[in-house]
Amino acid sequence: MVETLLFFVLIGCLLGIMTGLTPGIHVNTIAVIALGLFQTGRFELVVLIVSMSIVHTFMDFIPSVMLGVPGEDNLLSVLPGHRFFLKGKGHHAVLLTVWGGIVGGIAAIALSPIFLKFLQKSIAEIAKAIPFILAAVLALMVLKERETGKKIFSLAIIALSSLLGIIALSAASSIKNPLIVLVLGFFGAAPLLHSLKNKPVAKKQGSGEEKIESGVVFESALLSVLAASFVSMLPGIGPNQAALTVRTIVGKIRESSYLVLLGGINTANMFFSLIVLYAIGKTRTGTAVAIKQLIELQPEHMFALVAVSLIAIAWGAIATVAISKWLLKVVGKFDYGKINLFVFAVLVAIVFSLSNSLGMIAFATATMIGFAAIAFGIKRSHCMAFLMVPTILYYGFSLTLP
Amino acid sequence: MLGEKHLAISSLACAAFGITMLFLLNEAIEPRELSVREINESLVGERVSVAGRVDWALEKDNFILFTLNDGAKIKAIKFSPSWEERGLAGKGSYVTVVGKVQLYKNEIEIVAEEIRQW
Repeated sequence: MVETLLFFVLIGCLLGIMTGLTPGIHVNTIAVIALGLFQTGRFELVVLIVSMSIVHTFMDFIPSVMLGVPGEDNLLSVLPGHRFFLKGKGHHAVLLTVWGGIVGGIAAIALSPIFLKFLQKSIAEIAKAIPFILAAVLALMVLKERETGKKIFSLAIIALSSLLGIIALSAASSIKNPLIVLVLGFFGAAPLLHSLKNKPVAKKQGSGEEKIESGVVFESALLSVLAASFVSMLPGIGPNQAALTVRTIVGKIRESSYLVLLGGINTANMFFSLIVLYAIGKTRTGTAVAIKQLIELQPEHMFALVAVSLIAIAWGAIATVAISKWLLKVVGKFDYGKINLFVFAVLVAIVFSLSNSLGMIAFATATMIGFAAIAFGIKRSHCMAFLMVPTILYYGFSLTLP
Repeated sequence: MLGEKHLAISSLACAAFGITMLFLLNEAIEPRELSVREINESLVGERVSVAGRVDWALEKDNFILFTLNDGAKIKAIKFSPSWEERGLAGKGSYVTVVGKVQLYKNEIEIVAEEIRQW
């Protein structure tokens, strides 16, 4: 039985590499395919899905750092991560996210009994505070712009992004896969378009031998566990909003700390979502949805999933470092402008395949709004309003459009 | 200061701990394979795996109640069954049921986690 479980952990880890490296392919998609492909015991499939999901949280920083292509859960890593890449420190950026994932993941596992107790007692109160926290974050984002003109532009960007988000993400929307369409538009295609116009040149990549301060890693990773606990408890709050909230509350945060934070939130959130499923039966990730269809988690399953998560964290970390090093060598041989053009074409192809004609329109609109934000010199994180405002409406006014 | 060497050591330690945990948990994860005759009150709360023929089944929206027969009979219930499990647990079919033994109205039964093909 253990040998069988380890086999499925290995398959899951390999699939996690594939889903993490490929923008647009999410663990949810593969989980559904795995359900159909493997005729085996349900717990073995759960093990496959959990290990795949955890490895994915490590691997998906590679496309965001190297190509500026975000995933749904790490879109705010694109900015600092890609900046590191352009400075020739792409591998260093990936290492920061890996350290965040390892420490954040292990800390989440260690703190899960406390999280479980807290979850059962406090979830209702936390849900009430969320719209106020998010509204405050949005207000702070605008106020932090230095010039009055930029404050006005950021309000405009927030308004446009919010409107697009409300329309695209509403229950009545006919857009297929609206979340990934908007994410790729705002945070993928927009900066690529800007790059194509301005033609930045990536410096020669270092091998990442630069050491990382342990204090940076442990502080940020522990903060990430706190943020991840909120993400896993509350629908509508993603890792990006949690990272943004932490950054706004904590104040100025180094880009290196921010990358560790994001790495930690992603991995810790994945594990916490299993705890949430076990404790209150709610699903907060696609992984949890797939698992809920397979099995009712028992205490012995949870202990086994702790073991599986530890193995997957190890695999995710080592595989990400190795692949990142190799990919940097490959990417370094090509003209960066041509890479950008190619990636832009791939993004358009992904949206075309995953969505429909309305989705293409939403993608183009999101791209233009994101491009406008960059062109006006506004922080692109204002575009996060596309998720935050619908979340405020949901929690504050119990509103979802019909 | 942390380098790739520390990362590799941390990862390997993590993996070793996880694999060790899996081996130690093996008995808890693996359900006990038993025949119906071997299931009694002393096993209440334990996870078991029992194979047999479905003699009778009652299917409702959120559960399937059925009798498993391997020479002796036992009742089993599966809440929120999947479409596949609904198909498997038909009268006359041979299945393996994995679940917990419970005492319900003074009768031993299995609360199924999973219904598999035999």
